[in-house]
Amino acid sequence: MSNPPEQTAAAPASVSAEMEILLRRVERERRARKQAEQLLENKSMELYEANQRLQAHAAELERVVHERTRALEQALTVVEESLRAKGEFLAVISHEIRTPMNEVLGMAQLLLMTQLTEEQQGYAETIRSSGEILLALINDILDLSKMESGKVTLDARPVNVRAVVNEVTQLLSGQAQEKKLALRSLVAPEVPAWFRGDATRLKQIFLNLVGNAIKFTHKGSVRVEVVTMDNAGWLECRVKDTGIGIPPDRVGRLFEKFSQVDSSITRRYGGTGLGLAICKRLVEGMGGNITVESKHYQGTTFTFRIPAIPSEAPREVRPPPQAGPRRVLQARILLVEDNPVNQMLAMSMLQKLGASADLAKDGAEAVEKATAGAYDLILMDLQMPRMDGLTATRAIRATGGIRQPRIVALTANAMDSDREACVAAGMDDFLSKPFQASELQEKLDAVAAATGA
Amino acid sequence: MKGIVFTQFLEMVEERYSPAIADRILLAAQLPSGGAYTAVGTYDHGEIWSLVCELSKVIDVPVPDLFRAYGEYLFGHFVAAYPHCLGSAASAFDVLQGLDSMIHREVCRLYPDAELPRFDVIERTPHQMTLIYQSARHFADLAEGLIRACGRHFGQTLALTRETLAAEGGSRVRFTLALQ
Repeated sequence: MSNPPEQTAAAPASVSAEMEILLRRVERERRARKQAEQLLENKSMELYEANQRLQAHAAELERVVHERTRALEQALTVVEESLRAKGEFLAVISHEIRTPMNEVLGMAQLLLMTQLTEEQQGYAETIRSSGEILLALINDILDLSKMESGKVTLDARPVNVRAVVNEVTQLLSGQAQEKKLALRSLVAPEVPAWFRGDATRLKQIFLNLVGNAIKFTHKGSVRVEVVTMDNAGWLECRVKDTGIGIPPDRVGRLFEKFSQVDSSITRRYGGTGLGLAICKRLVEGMGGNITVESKHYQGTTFTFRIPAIPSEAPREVRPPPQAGPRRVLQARILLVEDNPVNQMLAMSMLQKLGASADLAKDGAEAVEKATAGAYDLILMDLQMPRMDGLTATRAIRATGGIRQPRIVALTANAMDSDREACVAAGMDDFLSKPFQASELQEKLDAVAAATGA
Repeated sequence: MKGIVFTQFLEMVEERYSPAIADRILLAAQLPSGGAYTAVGTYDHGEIWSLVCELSKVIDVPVPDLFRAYGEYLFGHFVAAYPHCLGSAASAFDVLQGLDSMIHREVCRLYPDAELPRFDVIERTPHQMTLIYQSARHFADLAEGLIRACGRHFGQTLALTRETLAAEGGSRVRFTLALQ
């Protein structure tokens, strides 16, 4: 489009007109600029204010977060403290209960050995069996609370997993036989002989799982399998049964404390509901995990995997668990006891003290063993079938040509007349049942001192 | 109405005609704002009408033609100043399709007080598009100029037909665009 004629005009009047146009234009531009500046200033102010608000908001949020965090930390501390206090209380109270409970149990055992009517026998049995359940519960609680407070330290000594499995199946074979269950174990050939670990705790896990399996199986079998996994980096242990199984909705809670499939289980099958919780903690303490697969009414498989740290075979065949009783290890001990519960009690106590003993089930067997082998110590029960302790002692003392052992009577009561009879028969010392480990330790120390072993 | 519509209009007048004509129409229009516009300001839409009417008188070109010509000019400025607004659009139809959802949304983000017309796409085939312009104002001519320039930008020739629809206050116009 062509420019209008005014543009090209060159007259002075036009120049002043052009000047006016220009001035107006400059004036408009100036006002526009001021408007823009004003707008900019307004926008800047708005932005600044928005920014201030955001900052205040952020600071407020931060303050709230701080406050909440502190409140949460405080709450957590309170909870942790109360948990710790609870755990300690539990440990203390469990220990305090255990001591008199042991005495109740011992007395119940003694009561059962006296002449009782059938009715009284029944009552006493109930006291004993209930007492044992209670004691097992207390022991489990104590164990668990120790684990929860981190007071359980696991050994890292050479462990023979085959020996552990054998021991467990042997210990529980009686229970399995009673229920006509096949109890089998299979440790795969590629599983190395020795691992680094805690034999006692491993045994505890197996005992719990296999014991459970037997308890909840009425027909069929219980199998223990041990294999290696992931290039022998892991040991996988399975306990399979053909028992009643676990309903799927209960599987998840199984490893929780005091969780049994249902409360009627406690009445029918007994148990504290702590065993699996203890197993889980032990396995996790070993750096492993435990899982369960179950088909209701078809069977259950518990599987735990633990890191398999290979180990050299131990230098000593029997590493002494304690420095003190080491001398006693050399001492040969014979336990003469007919009652299986007492056998077990005495044997496990000896084991705890780092000693082991042969077993004779009555006086006649005691005489046979004592005259055949050189014992340093005989722990002799008094009342036994076939031959009582006094007669057996006299027979041993009358045998010439053997090293005479020290004979300690295991007396049910501490009547003076009994003691006199014991001394007369040739016994050296007494131990009143139920005895404490410390009392047994004294007798062992006496033998060690006498033999100089 | 956003200041950019005024500043671009005056730039066009100065460029195509002369600063003197721009000055003349500014004086003649007796604008409430005094004709001092900044692109980021907001002014009464009536002022653009006054300016276009004054220009029409001065150069003797009908008002609708001027609006269309200005629409085309304005599109050129948009493309130069805000190339990203066209985004990945490959055709005029793409731009028109995304007008409300993309471009106007961007405008509103910067200027929450902006009063924008609506462009509803009624129908779209590869060769034809029908859209309805809807505004409280009467700037369908300006819109037409923008649409034509848009087609040209993509090297497309659009045959455009317009149909004014009934509207309560403001305007509704159907644009039918056929790709030649």
